[in-house]
Amino acid sequence: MTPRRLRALLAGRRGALFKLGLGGAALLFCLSIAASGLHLTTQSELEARVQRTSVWTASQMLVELSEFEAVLRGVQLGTESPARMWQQFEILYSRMKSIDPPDDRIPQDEMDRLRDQAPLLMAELDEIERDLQAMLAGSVAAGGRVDRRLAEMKLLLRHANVRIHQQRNALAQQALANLGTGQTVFLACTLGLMVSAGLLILLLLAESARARWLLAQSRAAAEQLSQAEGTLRILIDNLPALICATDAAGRCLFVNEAYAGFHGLEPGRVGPDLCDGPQAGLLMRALAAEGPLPFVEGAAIDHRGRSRTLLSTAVSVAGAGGERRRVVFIAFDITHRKAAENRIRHLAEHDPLTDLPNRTLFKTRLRAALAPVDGERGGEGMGAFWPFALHSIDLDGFKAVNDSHGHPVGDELLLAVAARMAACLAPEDMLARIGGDEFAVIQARVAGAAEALALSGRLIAAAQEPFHIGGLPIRIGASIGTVLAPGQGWRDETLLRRSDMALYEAKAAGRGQAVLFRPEMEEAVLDERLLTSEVVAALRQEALFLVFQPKYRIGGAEPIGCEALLRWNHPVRGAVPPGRFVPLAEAAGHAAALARHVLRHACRQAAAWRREGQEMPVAVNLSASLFATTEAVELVREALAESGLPHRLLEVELTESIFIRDAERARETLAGLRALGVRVALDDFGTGYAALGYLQSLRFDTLKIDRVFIQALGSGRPDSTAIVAAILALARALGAEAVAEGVETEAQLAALAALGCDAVQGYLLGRPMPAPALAARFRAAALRP
Amino acid sequence: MRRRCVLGLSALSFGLLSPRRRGQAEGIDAAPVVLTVDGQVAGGETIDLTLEQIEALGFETLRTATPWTRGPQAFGGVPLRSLLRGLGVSGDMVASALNHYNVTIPAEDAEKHGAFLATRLDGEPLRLRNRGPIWLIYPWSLRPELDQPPYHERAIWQLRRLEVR
Repeated sequence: MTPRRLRALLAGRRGALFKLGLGGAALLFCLSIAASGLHLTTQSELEARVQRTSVWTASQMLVELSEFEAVLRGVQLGTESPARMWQQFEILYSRMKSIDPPDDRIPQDEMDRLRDQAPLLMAELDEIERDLQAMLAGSVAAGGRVDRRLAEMKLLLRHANVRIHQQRNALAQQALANLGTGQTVFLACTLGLMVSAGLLILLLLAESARARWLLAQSRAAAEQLSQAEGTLRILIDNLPALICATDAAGRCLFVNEAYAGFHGLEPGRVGPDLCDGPQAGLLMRALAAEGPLPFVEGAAIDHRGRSRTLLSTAVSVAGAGGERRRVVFIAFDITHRKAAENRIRHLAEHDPLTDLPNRTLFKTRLRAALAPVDGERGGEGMGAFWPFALHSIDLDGFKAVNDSHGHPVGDELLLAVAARMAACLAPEDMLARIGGDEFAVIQARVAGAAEALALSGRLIAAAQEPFHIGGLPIRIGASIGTVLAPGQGWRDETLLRRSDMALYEAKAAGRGQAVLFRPEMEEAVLDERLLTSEVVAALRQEALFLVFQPKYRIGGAEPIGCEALLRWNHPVRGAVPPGRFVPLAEAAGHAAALARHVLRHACRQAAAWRREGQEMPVAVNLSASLFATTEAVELVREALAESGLPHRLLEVELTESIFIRDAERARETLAGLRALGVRVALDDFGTGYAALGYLQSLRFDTLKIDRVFIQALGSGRPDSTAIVAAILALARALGAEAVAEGVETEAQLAALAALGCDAVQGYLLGRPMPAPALAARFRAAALRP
Repeated sequence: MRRRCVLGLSALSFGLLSPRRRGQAEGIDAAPVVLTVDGQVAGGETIDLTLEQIEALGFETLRTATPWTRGPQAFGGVPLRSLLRGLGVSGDMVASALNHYNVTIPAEDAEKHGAFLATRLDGEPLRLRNRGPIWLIYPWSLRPELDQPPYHERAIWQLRRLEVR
């Protein structure tokens, strides 16, 4: 048990203990007093008895009797006068008489016996008196009687005297003994008194200690309470919330510092009552509600007249009196937060350069425009809304301005264009900047296509007007695709997609065009999407196959190699050209799978030919997209490892476009391929990329001269011959083999032969053919003498 | 050396009732002497007084009970103070009785406590056998505080002599 609990327990029983102790002490005290008193009474009574005992009387009686006898004797002898005898007789008489009236106040045992005999003695004295008178008159007999009576009386008194003495001695002894026990009793009483007094003192001390403890407790509690109150007050004052407490009638009881500061109240002043004003309603609701009211955002004016935004609530709490409820108002000044929120929202929803709404806000507005108007619900489950037009705008020639004049001028131009376009719009319309040079307009409440096209025409005209930026005259234009809602769509994604299709069409149709969406546009796109899914499925099902086009040395009958070409026979559409389905598959993210397929089958075929004794290198076209990563090297290594084809029998054909995307990464990939030992051919040389700088640092095994230059050969145009001659010279200088593509006529072949071209490829010599056909051609050439 | 004498000055005021002083000629009428006052008396004289002379010094009545009798009784006699003033003496005194009892009476008993020389009971002179002829009593009934042993002891009966100290 802890001392604390023990103390509490004792404190509980303390009152009873104290009373019991006090009662005991008082009882003991009373008993002591009573015992002392009783004993003292007994003692004094005894002493009184001793004192009062008429020992003296009895003795005196005997003495006086003897004296009388002596005087009588003197009278009889004639030496004493009768007067003297009478006087002595009187004295004796008075002495006898003094025991006559029995004194019943004091018990005197032996004396009482004597007293009982008093009438007898008095009668005896009366007899003696008569005999004395007779004796004085001369009667001798009377004298004898007197003597005899006196002797008897003397004997009686002597006996009484002895007994009284004995009694007195006994009483004295008893008193002495009593005194002894009295001392013991007195000591005991004293001890009792001391103990009871001590007990009382102890109890008083204990009680006063307890009282002090209770006082200290209550002081500590009061201190704690006041501290807690102070802490609470500091806490409340330092809260960043406006706090005000009122009673149920709205009389203000308390405000904190923030509240006082907001309302400009002096410190320590209680605020104005809230009986009326905007908070009265809040008060009534808080009193009616259980728990706090939901937070409500509202505007308020502080004492300096500034407009603030407050987030406030109120809660009613039971007061000390139970029924007397109080209401606490709590409000947060969220003005700054609101401003920051608004700023952040504006930043999130607007383009930082033009301050026009960005794509996010534009989409929000678009959705809002598509929201059904209240109470006007149309049929077909579609909510009715005001018709509007969506314009997708793309600036023509902006990239060129940016490239030639720099971004600052480009930014200035964008601001100017935005301002001009905005000027074309009605207040309820919306202009947004969607991307770099892409804008969009929501044209509200459009009655029909003509009205929409009128606006797009105005916008194009505004963009085409010359600009003067930093003193430079600048001309650009704009292409616009337009879609009408709800006539051409009622979902935001649909509308955006369709306006983009129209824009694409406008761009394709030449610049400065405004095109309204037509359903056919979507059909083309849908068709493409279908074809994409089909080619991906065909790839997965190995429905794509390879054909091989042979390459020959000029004048040689035996193929020196071949180019693997991918083919797809669509079950409905028939043969689909690779120029159509390969970009679709690559755009759908299947470039690597496509390359793996081609590499694997080409390598397998070459390895198969080799096993049959025909060593024929095979060339494979790899997409430029694969050169953005080191994926190309991995795919090649994988195919070679799987087929077991000697690396020198594989040739990878790539185009110059790989250097446009990421020249550095392309270099690394090329180096990786060359390190594998495969041959690298540069396809379509002379058409793709103007700069030839890469040729300085990269080695190619083969340069394939684009068919454009070959077709010009033999037409008699001298410049075409010069270009081919230059390419051939360059190839020779670089140590690369030159292969002419697309050779279709004998004249071309002859011209190439004259120019000294190494190898040729084309319909004239061999169309792309299945592998067995090529193998047969190879065998036939080998059999030729 | 016992002498009887009559106080000279008292002849003027008391006449025949003047106390006799020892050493003076004894008068014709021989009324018995009941009280003798001596000791520190002016002139070193011894004064013998008869009952008549005592009562002549200021007779009064006193109704009181005594420890030795039952009920209040009507005493007659002279306050001790009157006696002492009448004789021109003052001071503590030793009182002696015919039965040889003696006790000291403080002067204040005469002055303050009303000590009374009773000579009569119900108008009759006190006989010797009734504690007479002179019984020194106190007004116990009037003043209960005197009803205590010391005063009881001083209540001398059969008083015969007062020796002034």
